[in-house]
Amino acid sequence: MTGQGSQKATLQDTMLRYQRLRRLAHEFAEERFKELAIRLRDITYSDAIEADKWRFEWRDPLKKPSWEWARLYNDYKTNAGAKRFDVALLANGELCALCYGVPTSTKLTLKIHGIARNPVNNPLAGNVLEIMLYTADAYARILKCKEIWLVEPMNEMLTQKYQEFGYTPVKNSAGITTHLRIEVHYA
Amino acid sequence: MRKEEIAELEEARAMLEKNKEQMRKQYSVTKPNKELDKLIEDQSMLLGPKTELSLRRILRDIKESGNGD
Repeated sequence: MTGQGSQKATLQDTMLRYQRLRRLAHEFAEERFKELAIRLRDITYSDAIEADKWRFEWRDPLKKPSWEWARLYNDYKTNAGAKRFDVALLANGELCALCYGVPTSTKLTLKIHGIARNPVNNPLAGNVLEIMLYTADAYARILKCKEIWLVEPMNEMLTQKYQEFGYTPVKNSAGITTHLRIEVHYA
Repeated sequence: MRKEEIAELEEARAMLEKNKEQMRKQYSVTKPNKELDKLIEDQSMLLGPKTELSLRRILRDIKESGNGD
């Protein structure tokens, strides 16, 4: 019983430790974009449910998301997801965008798996990528990662956009971009 | 909070401060591609799993990441 108890405490310690490190990345980005009065925090289940409603805003089926945030929430919010990168981006108290990612076990690479924004009346439209990538970069540096990967860009136009931030596309044999990568350089 | 955790946070904070300017430059596009921005301005899904296989890969990444140090 004692053994199980101490193991639990260790896991809780790890969860808390990475929660604090994420909070540091959040605060760092809030300060950088203070003119936008943004707030960053971990994603809650309510956020995931709200983001899943964004799909109904699209009439064009090609623009509808191919995944459910609630499902991702359940996958990430596990013990294995302790080190996850996790951002709910808010402005004026309204949820504007979400982002999830996870580092590899060695923490050499931070993989970003999902970014989406509210398609309607979003005061941060046009700024979401910059904010999310900046925050991801901060978290990658906190973990001392060597690379950041952006996994599965939605289309080639977005691949071009990521390249503007210095990311390099990696393509498969069919010429499709599987991910983009960037090396983290430390000052 | 343990001493080591406080030290880790302070060290990370100092490192971010040192890298702030470099990061600011990297994530400020100096020559915005207005044509491209116009094309993607109404896109809300910017990055994410397109298939069930992609979702399974994410789950694998999460499990492999683990909760060890």
